[in-house]
Amino acid sequence: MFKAAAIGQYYPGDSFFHRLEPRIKIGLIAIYVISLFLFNTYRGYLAMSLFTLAVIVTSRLPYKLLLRGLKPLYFILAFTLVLHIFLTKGGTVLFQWRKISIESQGVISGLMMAWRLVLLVMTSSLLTLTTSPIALTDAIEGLLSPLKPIGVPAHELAMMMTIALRFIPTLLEEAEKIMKAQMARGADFESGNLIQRAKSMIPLLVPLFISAFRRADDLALAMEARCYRGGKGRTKMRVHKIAGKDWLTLAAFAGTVAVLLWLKA
Amino acid sequence: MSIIAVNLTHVYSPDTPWTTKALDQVNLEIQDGEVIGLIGHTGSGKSTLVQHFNGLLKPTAGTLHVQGIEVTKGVNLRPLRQKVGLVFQYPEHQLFEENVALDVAFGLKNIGLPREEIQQRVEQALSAVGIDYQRFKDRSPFELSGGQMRRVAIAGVLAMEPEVLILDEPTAGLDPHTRKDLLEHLRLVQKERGITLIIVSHSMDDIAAMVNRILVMDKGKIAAQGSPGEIFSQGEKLRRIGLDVPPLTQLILALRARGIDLPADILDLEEARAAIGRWLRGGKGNV
Repeated sequence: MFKAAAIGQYYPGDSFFHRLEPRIKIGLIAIYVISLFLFNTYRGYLAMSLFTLAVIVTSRLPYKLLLRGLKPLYFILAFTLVLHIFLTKGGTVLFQWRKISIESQGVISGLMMAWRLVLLVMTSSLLTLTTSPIALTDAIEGLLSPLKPIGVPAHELAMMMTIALRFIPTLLEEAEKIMKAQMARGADFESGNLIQRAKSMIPLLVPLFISAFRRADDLALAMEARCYRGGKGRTKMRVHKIAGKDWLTLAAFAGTVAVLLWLKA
Repeated sequence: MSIIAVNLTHVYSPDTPWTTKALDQVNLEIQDGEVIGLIGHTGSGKSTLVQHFNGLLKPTAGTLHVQGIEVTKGVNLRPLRQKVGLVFQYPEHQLFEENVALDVAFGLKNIGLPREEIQQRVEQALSAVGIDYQRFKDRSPFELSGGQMRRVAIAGVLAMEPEVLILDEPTAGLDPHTRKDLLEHLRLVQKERGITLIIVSHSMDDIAAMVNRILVMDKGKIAAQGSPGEIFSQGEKLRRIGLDVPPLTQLILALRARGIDLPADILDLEEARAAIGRWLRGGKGNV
């Protein structure tokens, strides 16, 4: 039952997009997201959709995985669509009942907004799907390190993220185990009203917190025992280098998007 | 009443890249009052198998009857979970109440027993695992020692008075003394109540002497079954699937390999000493 909650799952592969330098990948996604909000024509959307589709196809990601990532979005999508359909006016009137009317402009902008959200979430999930968590935090550290002089703890943030990501599956597993153990003692997590359900979470949450604290303690001790002293002077086993190919990809993508925007595609 | 599995199969995360077949057409029958040792390597499917016995997992294919109840998708879990008590690995991690008595009573409250009966059962369950009720009932479970915490957690399941008691690695991480003591208590409970006891382990060192039958699992199948003597005398086969035979059995097998005539099914240190002594004195070790 916790499987669906696994966000940011890495799907190993060896495609072009998998191999892109993670910092460049973050750059690409950032440009993508910004330009997605600048485009407001069909052709612009079509171009952006094609980019996403190209990455999905070439990275050989299973479609099911991507669709599952959209699941938490269903409600927001429906909400956006309905809101636009009823509130945006313009174009021809498609439906009229007393004061409520649906007009063509509303349907169009509703669909476009919803599609924009789908692209947004799908493309950002491509980042986590094709980049291992370690490479991702490395990239974030790299991108943040110029801000170190003004007091941004780049290394500490990256380390915290690495640890958090590392322990998500562990804690999910633990939660499932504790849940099963309490169910074996007759606990019921699924029925009752809201208050009863909240109360029934106590036998799950107390042991889970205790084990999380115990793990944190153990981890801190283990890190100290291996002379961890924070980021200063720490070297990396794997150094990511931005190659010419990576710069080229970034330039090509930024260029294409810029041209499309300039043409008001 | 018994546990009967026919072609029991379980597949984790079907239709995903992570799909794994944890149980592959398992057939078995466990009679009432039997003491079973279930051994197998990590990932051999033993934990998956026992989680079917109380309906935490449902068969993907095949059938399973436990104490007369068929375990399927729509099964009413309440009577099943009362009949089958499952103690997970490191059960002390499931403790959460403010005191020992309340924690042991958790399951009993869930099945809605009256107060007096709860108190009586809690007392019995705690004494069955060697915890003094009066001394411990008001203490926080988190200030106990590891061994005491484990006993309290096991008592929480025992208090439900199951007909079948399953323990997953009950002695993992305990010191030898506590280990022996805990198993002794479990053996007594089994004898007194006549329940079916299933102990899951990856090594059978300390329970070889107390089980009637051993089931060996490998890659989701039952690879071998029989009395402890029969199983351990197949040392080579066990080693092939990554299991170690107890040191004592290793010694006996090594001696037998040198042509010394000792019985292959010796499980007890005393027995071994007697047999080897006889061989030393008489040159012949026939019992």
